[in-house]
Amino acid sequence: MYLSMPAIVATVDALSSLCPKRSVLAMTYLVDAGGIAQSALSFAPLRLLFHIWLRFWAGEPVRHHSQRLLTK
Amino acid sequence: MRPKTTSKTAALVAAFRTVAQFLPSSPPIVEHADRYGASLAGWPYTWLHYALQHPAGRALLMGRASPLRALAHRIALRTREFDDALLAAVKSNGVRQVIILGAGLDARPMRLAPVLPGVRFFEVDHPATQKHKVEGLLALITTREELVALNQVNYVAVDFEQPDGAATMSALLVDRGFNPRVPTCVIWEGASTIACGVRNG
Repeated sequence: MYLSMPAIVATVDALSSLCPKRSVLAMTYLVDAGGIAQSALSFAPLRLLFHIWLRFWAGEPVRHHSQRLLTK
Repeated sequence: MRPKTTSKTAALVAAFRTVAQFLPSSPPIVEHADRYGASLAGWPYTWLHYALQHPAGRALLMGRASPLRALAHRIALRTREFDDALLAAVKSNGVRQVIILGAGLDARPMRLAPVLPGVRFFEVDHPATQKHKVEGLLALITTREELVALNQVNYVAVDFEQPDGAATMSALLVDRGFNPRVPTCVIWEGASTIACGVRNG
């Protein structure tokens, strides 16, 4: 099963509009080193590259939206 | 995920949340043990759970170098981290509602509802996984306390990958009684490990 980044961003964005102040988001996202380790251990080079890309470059939209939910 | 089947990832994670109680750790890593996961996940996890209840099975399957033990540790630590985050949010942020996204076969409300009276849970997940889970839980619960815990949960069936998935989720949450004025803890556990770059559906 896979979950797309656009779906993640859209969902967090919808919740940031729906939830009131003092709400909390707990999420394993970009800093989940498990994804990198799991891909490396399962010898899945493309998936490993994807997780490294997700971790270091592509996670900013999710980080931004999560932060909005935490601080609005 | 195929549209009409339960997620295999959900089954694996749920089963290992149950298996985590057999890790040699005192006190246990997951304080509120999950007795439902392996049963909800079905075969072969029910067999694994059965084998681990015997000392010989534990020695064979959960030895120091066992990959099962490594996976159980990972799931246990992740579960504990989210349990602690939720309990802290209720204690310090006045949270009275919990949204669990992609809940899978996670029985967090069943485990934590007894220590979080009055907190309402909303589980959002794919319709196929959710149907399997609710039917499974109804078959597994045996006590009045479990029935009370189950009644604290509102189920919202949504496919995140549909173009209108997020809007549908918001509408259904409100329809199921979600109060947009009450502080809420949103949990999305293990999303990054299954994230991919493009929309699937």
